[in-house]
Amino acid sequence: MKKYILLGILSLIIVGGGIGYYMFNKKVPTLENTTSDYVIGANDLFNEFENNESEALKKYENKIIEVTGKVISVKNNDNDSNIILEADMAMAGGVNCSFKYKQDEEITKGSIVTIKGQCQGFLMDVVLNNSQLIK
Amino acid sequence: MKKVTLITALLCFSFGIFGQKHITRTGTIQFFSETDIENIEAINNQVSSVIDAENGEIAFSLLMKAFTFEKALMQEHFNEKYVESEKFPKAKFKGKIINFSSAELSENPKEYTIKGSLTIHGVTKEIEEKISLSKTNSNHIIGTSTFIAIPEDYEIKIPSIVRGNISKTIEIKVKMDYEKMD
Repeated sequence: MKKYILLGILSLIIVGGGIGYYMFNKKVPTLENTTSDYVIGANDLFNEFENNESEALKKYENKIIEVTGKVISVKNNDNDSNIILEADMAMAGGVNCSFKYKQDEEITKGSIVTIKGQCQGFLMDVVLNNSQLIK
Repeated sequence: MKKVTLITALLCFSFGIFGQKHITRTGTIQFFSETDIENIEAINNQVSSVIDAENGEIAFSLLMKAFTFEKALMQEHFNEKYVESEKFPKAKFKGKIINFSSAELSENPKEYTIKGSLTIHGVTKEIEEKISLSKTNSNHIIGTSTFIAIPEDYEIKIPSIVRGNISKTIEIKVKMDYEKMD
């Protein structure tokens, strides 16, 4: 009997440890298979933040947003990249999206793209990160 | 007479350019914590910064939540337990580059002292660090800096249970590529 209890405890420790180890090493998931909370244009999204940052934050913070707009700049780093979408009311900016991968060369200034990203707040631009290019 | 007007106009024009601000919205700030148990690394490449080429005034702002980690749990703990991103969403620096002169900038990086106030986790500290500045062919100003910050200074509390996993001093690396503002 004692043996079984011991065995039980041991397997619990192993499973628990395994789960713990898995949780510890779990990567930040990509947004690839997530549904967007909001679908919106770059202009409208920027204006909501510009007009009332705290209200917009309540609505959008941590939410997954699918935003469409005109590319104003693309920046490729070694392992990641940024795309900034234009908003009329922003000074040479609008929606700042960061990606954990590099962009294809076909994305250039002036392209119209749709990007899905997680909203983190507002600086000079609305900031989305962990982004994925939809089209 | 016309010539004088033209020269004056040109002078004003070039002076205007000279006084212009340089800006980036995709600056990179990384931090590293190294201990025997584990290494922690996070990157934020959505840092906004403006540098005034005329007087060397410089400002940075970033969203704490825009730091991305490789491991999900680290990112969660960082935001929820340590820097409390919901309560203190932004970190800021405002200061001046000492003895700055944009005319001195060249392709060879030159080291300057930067002085100002850094606000993290709602706590503001006066800091003085080194910054290296250069200028590219395309008239971009490149700024890089590496310095050490101590979480305790900013009242960032690290529970004793994980103290072994997180270094007492955090190395911060800054890389900015400023474009002239149109």
